[in-house]
Amino acid sequence: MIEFKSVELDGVRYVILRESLFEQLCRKAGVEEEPGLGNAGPTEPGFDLDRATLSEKIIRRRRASGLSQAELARRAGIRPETLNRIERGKSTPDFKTVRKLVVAINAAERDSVNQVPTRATEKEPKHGD
Amino acid sequence: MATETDSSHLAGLTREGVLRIVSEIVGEQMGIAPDNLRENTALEADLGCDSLDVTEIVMETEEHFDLTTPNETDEIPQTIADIVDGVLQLAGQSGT
Repeated sequence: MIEFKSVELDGVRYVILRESLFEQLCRKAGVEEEPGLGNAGPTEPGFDLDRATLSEKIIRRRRASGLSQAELARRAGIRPETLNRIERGKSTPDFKTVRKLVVAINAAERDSVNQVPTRATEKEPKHGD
Repeated sequence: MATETDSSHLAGLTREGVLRIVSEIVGEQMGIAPDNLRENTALEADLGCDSLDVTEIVMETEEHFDLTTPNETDEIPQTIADIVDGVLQLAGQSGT
């Protein structure tokens, strides 16, 4: 069980947990820690943490729409290897790539929602005819 | 780049108006009351947005204002003000 406290400041919820536990979670998520970030603003290093949540979200939404990695990569117009690295948290995609993925995932989710079970659309020989 | 579309809906855009809309979009995406958001609210550091959230916020904003970010843009907005600035810049281009 992870022990933590949560606080709310200006409508935003924050979590407070032991630093050693935070380091464990980062290691588990495959996220590299960077010491000395105390005075860093929302700059590049923060996107190291982004990799773990981004890959989890992409995988979850991809699977929910019934897409394989290859299919999502094709729809997004990116290489399958690129998507694979993103989903494994091995690379942080740039804004353009994330946008392509979002567009493709949203379209797949819409298709998934709109999918209505139908009989076969191709003409089949009728039995007895 | 400006597109050949009717930009009359952008004529009365004010910074305050854009900020209100963007705050609503960000609030809806992140489950936060828009009143708690400020221009200098950092999307990642303050709200915990990841790049997927930011991208969806940007796309939702574009759809609302009927604007399109140029393909060559690869800058990720860091704050709500960045998104507001982007909208006003594109709206200004559309109006010229």
